[in-house]
Amino acid sequence: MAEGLNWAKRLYQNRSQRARELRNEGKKVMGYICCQPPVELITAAGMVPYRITGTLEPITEADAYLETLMCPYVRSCFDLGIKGRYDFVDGIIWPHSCDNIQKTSDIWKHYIPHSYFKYLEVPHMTDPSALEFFTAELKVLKRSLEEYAGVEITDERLEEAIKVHNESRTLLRELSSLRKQDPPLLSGTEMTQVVLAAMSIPVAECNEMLRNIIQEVKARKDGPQKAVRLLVYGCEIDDIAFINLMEGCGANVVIDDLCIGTKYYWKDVATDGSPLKNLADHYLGEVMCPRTFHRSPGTRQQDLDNRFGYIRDFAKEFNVRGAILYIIRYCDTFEFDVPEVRDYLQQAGLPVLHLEDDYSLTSIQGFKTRIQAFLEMMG
Amino acid sequence: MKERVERKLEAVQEVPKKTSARKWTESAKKVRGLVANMYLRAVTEGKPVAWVMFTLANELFVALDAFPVYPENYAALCATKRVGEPFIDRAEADGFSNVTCSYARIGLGYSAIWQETGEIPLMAPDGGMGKPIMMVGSALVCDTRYKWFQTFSRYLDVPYYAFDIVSPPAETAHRPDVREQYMKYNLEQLKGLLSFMEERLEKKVDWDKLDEVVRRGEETYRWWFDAYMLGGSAVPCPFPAEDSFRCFVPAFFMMGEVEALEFYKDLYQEIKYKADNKIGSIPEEKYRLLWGGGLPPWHTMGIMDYVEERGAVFVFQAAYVPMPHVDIPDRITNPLERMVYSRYASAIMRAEIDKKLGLFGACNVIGHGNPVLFVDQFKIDGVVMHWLRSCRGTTIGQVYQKRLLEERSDLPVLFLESDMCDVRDYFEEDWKMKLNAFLETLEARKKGGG
Repeated sequence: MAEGLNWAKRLYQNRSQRARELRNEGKKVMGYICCQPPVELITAAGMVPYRITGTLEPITEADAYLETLMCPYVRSCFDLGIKGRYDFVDGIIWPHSCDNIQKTSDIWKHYIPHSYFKYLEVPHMTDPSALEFFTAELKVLKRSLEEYAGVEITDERLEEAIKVHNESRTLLRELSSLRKQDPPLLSGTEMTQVVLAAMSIPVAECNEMLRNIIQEVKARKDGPQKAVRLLVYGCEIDDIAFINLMEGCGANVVIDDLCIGTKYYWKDVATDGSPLKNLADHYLGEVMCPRTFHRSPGTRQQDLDNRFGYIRDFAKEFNVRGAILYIIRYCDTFEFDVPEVRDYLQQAGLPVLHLEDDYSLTSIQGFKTRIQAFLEMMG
Repeated sequence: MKERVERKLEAVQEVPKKTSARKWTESAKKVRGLVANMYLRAVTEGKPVAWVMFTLANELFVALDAFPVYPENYAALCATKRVGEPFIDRAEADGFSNVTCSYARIGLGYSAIWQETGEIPLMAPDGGMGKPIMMVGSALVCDTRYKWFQTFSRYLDVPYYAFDIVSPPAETAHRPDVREQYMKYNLEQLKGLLSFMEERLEKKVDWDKLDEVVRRGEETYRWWFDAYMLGGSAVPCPFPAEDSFRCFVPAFFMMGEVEALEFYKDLYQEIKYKADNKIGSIPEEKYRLLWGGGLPPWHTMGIMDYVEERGAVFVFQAAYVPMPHVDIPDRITNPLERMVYSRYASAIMRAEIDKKLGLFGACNVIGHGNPVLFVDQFKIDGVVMHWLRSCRGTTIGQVYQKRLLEERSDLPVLFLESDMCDVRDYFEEDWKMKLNAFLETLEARKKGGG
C-alpha cells in the first residue's frame, strides 16, 4: 500500500522532521503564523513554508516574556520559540492578524533569533483601498523575500506556486468531501493530522502525500463507524486531542471552520490577472477570519448571511446534526462573534454547544461530560 | 431578565464609598462637567447623534455639526459610578465572554436593556447615551474597536461604518514607498468615512469649516502635548496621573471644538504657574512614580489617593500620551490630508525613537507611550503597570517593557492586575498589600542610596 495516512500521522507526530532534513540539505525554511501570510510567496522564493503552532505541553518559559492574560495559543507558540524548538526555522513572517499576534511581534523578534523576520501589516477592511494597500504590502514582502532568498520571484514563478498550492487545496477539499457520506470515510482526527502535516512540508511533497491518502481512504474498509455528525467551529486547533475527544464521545467530526482546517484550503486563489493582487484578494477577502471586517451594506440578516452563511452551508452540505464552538480564551475577535454564530446556527436548526478553553485542554474531563450530554440531547 | 437587572441596579445604588480620586488641578475638576454636558447635549440639542469609537477623526463630526457620543467613555463613566455591573451581567448573559473588553460589555449590555425595555436603562448616568443615527468604529489601537460596534447590530438597527488607521513598523517607516502606501490608505479610509457621514447626515461637508476645525485641532494637540510633558517633568509634580487620566477627555472626545482648545490652554497655564512656583500636589513628594501602562482602574481611581497618602505620586501616565508636535508642510492644504499627515508623522516620530532605543516598534499604537521613554525625562523612582483582564490592546507588551526597563536601569517595577471597568476583577486588599511592599522597596532603595 502506498504511504498515505501513516505518512501524515508520522509527520504530525514529528512535525519538524522533514523541515529539519530539508534545511540540512541546504533549503531555507520560512515560518509563518496564522492564516494571512501567503505561503505561495514562500514557495515561489524557493523556501519551505512552515506553519508555527503551539503545543499542549505546559508553558514554562513564556511567562517571563508574555502576560498570562492573553491568547494561550500565542503564548504556547512563543514558549516553543524561546525554548529553541523553532531553531530549524530560518525566518518568520509575522502578520498583524489580531491584537495577540500583532503585539507579540516585537517580543518574538527581540528574543528569538532568526536570520529573517518580516512583519506583515494586514488591513482589517476589505474595500478596494484596503485591497490596494494589502497588495502593496505583499509587494514589499515579496521584495524582502527575494533579497533574503537571493531569488527573483517572477510572475511566472508566483503563478506556478499559486497553481501548486491551489492543487493542494483541491486535494484537501477532495479528501474532506470523503466525509460527506455516512459513515464518513475519514475521521476528523485523521483530517486534522493531515492538515497539520500538510503545513509542515513543501507543497509538492504535500500534494503527493494527499494523492496517496485519497487513494487509500477511498479504498479503505476500516473507516469510522456511524455516529452523530458534528461541525466544529473555532480558531487554532493544532492538536488532535480535542477532535479526538469529541469522536471518543460518540461523534464524527465531518467538517470544520477552523484556522488549521477549512480556512486554509476551502477556497482557491484566483489565477487570472495579477498574481499579487490575487493573493491579496484571497488572504484578505476570502479567508473568513473574524479579524477581518466584511462590510455588508444591507440588512442585519444580510450581514449575518455574509459573515456566517458559509458555516450554515457547510452544515447542510455535510449533513451535520450539531455544532460545537471551541473558543480559545482571550481570542477576542472570535469571542465577539460567538453569540452571533451560536444564534445564527440555532436559527438554522442546529443545536450548538459553546466551549471556552485555555488551549491546554486541562478542562478535558469537564468538556467530555458536556459533549456527552450534548450528544445525548441530540439522541 | 428585566427584573433581575432592576434588582441589581437597586443594589449598586447602595454603594456608600467614594471610589474616585481627588483632583489637584482646576482643569481636572472641570472635566466631570464637560462629560455630563456632552451626554446632556446629545439628548437635548436635537443634533444627529453618532456613536463613535475613539478614531482620531472627531474633527469630522464637529465640521458636520453632528454629535459624537463615545460608548467607551460612557463605559468608563459607568465604572467610576460603579453602575457598570448590571450591564456587564446582561452582556455575559447573552454569551459574551467575561474576558471580552469591559467597555464593550457595558455598551452591549446597555443596548440590550435598551432594546428590551424600550427605554434608556435605569441608573444610566448623565441621562444615558443619545439615540444614534449612525455608528463609527475603527481598527485603531485594538480589534475590539470594530468588532464591538459590529456586534451592536444585535440590539440596535443603526448603520455602521468601520475604517482602518494603520501605522508602519519602525523598520520600514522611513521608506518613501512605505510612507506613500500607508498615507494613501489612511486617506482613502478617511474619505470613505466622510462619504458615509455625508450620506447619513444628508449634507456635504463645508471644506472651509473643516479646515478651520482641523487647524484648531492641530493647535489643541500642541497645547495638550505641552501641558502633559510639562506636568510630567515638573518637580514637585503639580499634575498627577489621576488628573491627566481625566484631562485627556477633551482631546479624545471633543477634538476640533473651541472648548477643547481653551481647555488645554488653561491647563497648560495652570500647570506652568504651579511648576514655576514649585507647587506640588502633595506636601512632601518622596517618590515619583510612573503609571507605565494599562488603562486605569476606573472603578477605583481613589487608589491614587492611597498612594499619595504614603508620599508617592504618579507624575505621569503612559496610557494616554499626546501625539508629539508635527510640522505639517504648507503645501498640504486639504484638511483630510493634514489629518492623515499629522497622525502618520507622529507615528514616524515614534518609530524613529523606537529605532534609537533598539526597539522594533510594530506593537506600538498611537496614544500609548513606552515607559522606557519617560523614566529619565520625568525623574522616575518606580514604575507601576496594570494588567487588564479584558484589554489585550494595552496589556500585552507590559512584561516586555519591564524587561526593556531592566536592561537600562534597576528601577523597581510593579504589576497590578484587575480591569478597567469590571470591578469584579479588582481586589483592593491585594492591591494595597502590593503597593505597600512596593513603596517599602522604594524607601529601602533611597536609604541604601540606590
